[in-house]
Amino acid sequence: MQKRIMALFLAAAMALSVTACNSSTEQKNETSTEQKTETTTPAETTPAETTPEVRDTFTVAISYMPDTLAPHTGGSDDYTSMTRPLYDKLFIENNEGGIDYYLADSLEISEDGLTYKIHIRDDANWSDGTPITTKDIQFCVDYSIHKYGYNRYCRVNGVEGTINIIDDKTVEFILPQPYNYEIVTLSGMTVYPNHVFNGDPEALINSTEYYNKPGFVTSGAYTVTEINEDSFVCTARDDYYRGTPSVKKVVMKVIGSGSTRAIAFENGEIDYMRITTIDELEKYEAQSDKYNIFSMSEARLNYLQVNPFGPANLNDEQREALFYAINGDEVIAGAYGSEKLATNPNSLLTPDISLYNPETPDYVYDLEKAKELAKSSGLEGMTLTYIYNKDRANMEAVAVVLQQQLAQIGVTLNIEGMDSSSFFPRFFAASSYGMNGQEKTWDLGTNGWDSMRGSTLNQAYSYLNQSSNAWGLTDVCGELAAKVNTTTDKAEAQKLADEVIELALAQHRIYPLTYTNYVMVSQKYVTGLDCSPIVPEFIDYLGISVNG
Amino acid sequence: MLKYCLKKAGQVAIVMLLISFFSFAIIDLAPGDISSMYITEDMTEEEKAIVIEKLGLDKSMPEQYLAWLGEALKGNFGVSLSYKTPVMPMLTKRLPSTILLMGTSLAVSLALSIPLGLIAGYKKNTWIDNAISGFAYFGMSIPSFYFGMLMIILFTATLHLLPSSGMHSVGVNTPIDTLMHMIMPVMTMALSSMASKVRYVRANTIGQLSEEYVLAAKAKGTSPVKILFKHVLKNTLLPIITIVGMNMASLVCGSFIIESVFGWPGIGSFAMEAIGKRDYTIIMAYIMLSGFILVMGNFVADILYSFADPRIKRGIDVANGK
Repeated sequence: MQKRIMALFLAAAMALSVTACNSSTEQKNETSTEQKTETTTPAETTPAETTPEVRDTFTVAISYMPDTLAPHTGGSDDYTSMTRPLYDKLFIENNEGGIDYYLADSLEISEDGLTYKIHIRDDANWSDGTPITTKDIQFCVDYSIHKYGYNRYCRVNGVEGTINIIDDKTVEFILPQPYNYEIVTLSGMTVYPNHVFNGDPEALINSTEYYNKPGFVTSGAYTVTEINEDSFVCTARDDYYRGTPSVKKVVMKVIGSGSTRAIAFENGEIDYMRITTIDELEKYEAQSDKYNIFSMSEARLNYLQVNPFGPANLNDEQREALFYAINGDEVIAGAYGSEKLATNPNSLLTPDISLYNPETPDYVYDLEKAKELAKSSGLEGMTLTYIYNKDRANMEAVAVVLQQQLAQIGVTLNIEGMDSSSFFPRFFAASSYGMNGQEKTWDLGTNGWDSMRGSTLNQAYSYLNQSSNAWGLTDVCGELAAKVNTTTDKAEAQKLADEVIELALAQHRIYPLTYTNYVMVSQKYVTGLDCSPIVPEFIDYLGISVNG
Repeated sequence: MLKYCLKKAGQVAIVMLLISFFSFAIIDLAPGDISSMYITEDMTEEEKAIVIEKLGLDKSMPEQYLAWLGEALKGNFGVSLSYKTPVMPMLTKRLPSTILLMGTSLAVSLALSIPLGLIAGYKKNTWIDNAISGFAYFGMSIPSFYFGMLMIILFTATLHLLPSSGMHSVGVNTPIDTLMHMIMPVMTMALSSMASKVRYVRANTIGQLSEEYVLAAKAKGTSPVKILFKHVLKNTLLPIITIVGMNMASLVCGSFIIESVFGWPGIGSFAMEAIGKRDYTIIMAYIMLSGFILVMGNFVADILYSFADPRIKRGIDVANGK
C-alpha cells in the first residue's frame, strides 16, 4: 500500500513536470493575452473603464547590468544597445547608402577626398544645457591620442592627418590621402563632454564613478534618472534638440537567460525581444492580434572561410569541390527555416551597401561536379576541422547543415563551437593576432561582418586588403580594394568594387552564406521599432511609440 | 586551542597561495584572452601592440602572476580589463545581493531539512519516511536550472503570481517586492541544498535513536517530541555543521546558474560575464574570494565542532599537550 502511494506520488510529480513543459507556454500565452486584452481592448471592458491606458514606458531586457554607462567603454552590441538612448552619434550611414544626421547637420567631403568638413547642429546640446561644440570633438581626438598614441579619427595606413577647428560648430578632418572608409570612422565617433572633464582625457578614463550615478551628462534623447542593482531608467529630456520622445521612460532591466526572456516577454514584463528561429517567428506571427513583428536587414554577411594555414592545406581544386557541394538555399532552409530570417547572398557586400551589385555571379550548387572534383583532387575521405562562434545566432545550425552537405562528397567535418573570446583569437590568428599558432588548428570557419551598410567596402575592405596573407587571396585583391577606398569617382569605385569582389570569389577562399535579418517581436501597443533600421537597436528612439 | 588556530591559519595561507597559482595558470591556458574585445582586423600592427601592452598581455604568465600576487597581497586585486575600474568595489557592490539570496536559501533549507530529517529518521521505513526521502531524492536529482524554469513557467507564465527575473520591480523598493522576487530563486536553491541535509539528519537520527540515552528518556516517560527535538537534535547537528561550513563559499559566491536563470544581480552572474570576456582580474578576485570563504568555512566548522561536541575540543587540547 505504502509503495503504491509512493509510486502514485512520483508519477504525479513527473506528469506535472512534463505537462508544465509542454503546455504551459501555450496556456500562458492565452492567459497573458487575456490579461493584456483587459487593459488594451476597450470593447471588453466596462463603460467606466473605457478610457484607454496611456503608456509612457518602454521596457527593454538586457543581459547584464553594466558597471558604468560611460560613453567611452563597452564596445559590445549589448552595451551599444543599452547606451543608444543616452549618446547620439554625429551621423550614421543608413541602409540606403545615405546619411542620417544626428548631432551634425552636414558633412562635406572635398573633391579630392581629403577633407571631411562636419557642421554640428546649432541647437545640439548636452543634457545640462551646455551646447555641443567642436571643443567636444577636440576632446574625443585628445582622448584618442592619450589612449592610443595617435588620432584615430584621421589616420590612414599608419599616417596621421590633422584636425582643423574652424569655429564652435565646424570642424575639418584632413586626411593624408583619400580614404573613403573615413566616413565609417567618423560615423562611429561618440562625442564626450569636454566641459565635464575640463578637457582632461585622464579624468574621462577615471570617470566610472561619475557614470554610474544618475544625472550624468548625455547627448541623446534621454538621461539616466535611476540606477538599481538590476535595472536603470532613462527619462526623456525636455530640451532634446531633435524634439521630445513620445516614450517618456526607457527601462533597461536584467532578464535571465533566453527561455526566461521569452516568458518575461509573454508575461508583459518586457516590451520586445529578438527572435532568431522559425518556430518563434511562426508562433508570434500566429498571434498577430497580440504581438507586432518587425523585420529589418541586419546589414550582416555571414560567410564560410577556407583557412590557407589549415592542417589540410586545401588546394584550388579541393576548395572548388567544397563550394560546389554547398547548397546555399538549403543552408537557409535548414538553419533558419525561412527567408524572413536570412537570405542567400551573392556577394561579399550586403545590399545595404551602395556598391553592392545584385549581378555579382554567385557560386553554383552542383553536387555531381563536386563529387567528381572531390574524387579527382583527393578531397574525398578527408576530415576537416570546422570552427564557429556559438555566441552568434544560428551558427551551430549552419555548421550542422554544412556537415551534412559536405558528407555527401565524402568530407567529414569535425565541428568545434566556442565562445567569442576563444573564437576570435583562433579565427583571426593570422590576420590580427600575429600568427599565434592557432591559425594551424582549423580548416573551415564561419564568421560574420556586421554594420555592412553605407557607401564603402566597409569590413570587406580589411578582408580584401588582408595583412600577412591571412586569407589566402592574391595581392591584386588588396590593391583593387585600396583603389576602391581612395577613388572619389563613384562610377570608378563601382567598377573597381565589382572587379575585386568577383576576383576574390573566383579564388574559392570565402563562401558568402547568409544575409541575416534582425527580427523582433513586440507587444501590440509598441510601434516604430523599425523606424531607423540600424543594428544594434535602436539608434532613434523618437520614432518609437508605446501607444499603438 | 590557540596553537591549533595558528596552525590552521598557516594551512589556509598555503592553500590560498596554491589556489591562486593554479587558477591563474588555468586562466592563462584557457583559449583566448580579453584582447579580442579590443583588437579589430583594420588595426595596424602598432595599434595591436599598444592594445596588448596596455592590457599587460605582452608579459609571460609567471610575470603576470607575480605582478598580480604582489598587488593582491596588499589587498589590491587590480583593475578590471573590461571595465577599467577597480575590481573589489565591483565585487563588494554585488556581494549583498548574493548574500541575501544565498543566506535566505541556506536558512530556508536548514529550517526545512532539520525537522524533515528528524521526522524521517523517527518514522523510519514508514510511508512518511518514504515520502520525505522521495522528496529529498527528487531535490537531489532535478537540475536546478530545470527546476527554476519549471517554477517560472508555473508561477510567472501560468499563475502570474511572481516576477520572472531580477531583484526589484523598477521604481519599487520595498521589502515585499524584493521578497516576491526572491521566492523562486530561494526555493530553487533551497530544494537542491536541503535534499542532502535531510538525508544526513535522517541517518544521524536513526543512529541516535538507538543510543541508550534515548532508551533512558523513553523509560522516564519523556514525550517523543521532546526526545527528538531536545535530545536527539543536538547530536545530529555535527554533520550539518560540516555541510554548512562547506556551503559557506556558495553563500558568498552564489550560484552561476540560478543567478543567470533568474537574472539576479549577484556576483555569480557577474563572474559569468567576466569569464566570457576572459577578464582575469575579476575572475581571480572571484576565485580568491570563494576559495578563502571555503577554507574559512571549513576552519569555522572545525571550531564549531568543538563547541557542539566538547570531546573534540578536549581531543585538540590533548593533542597540543594541554
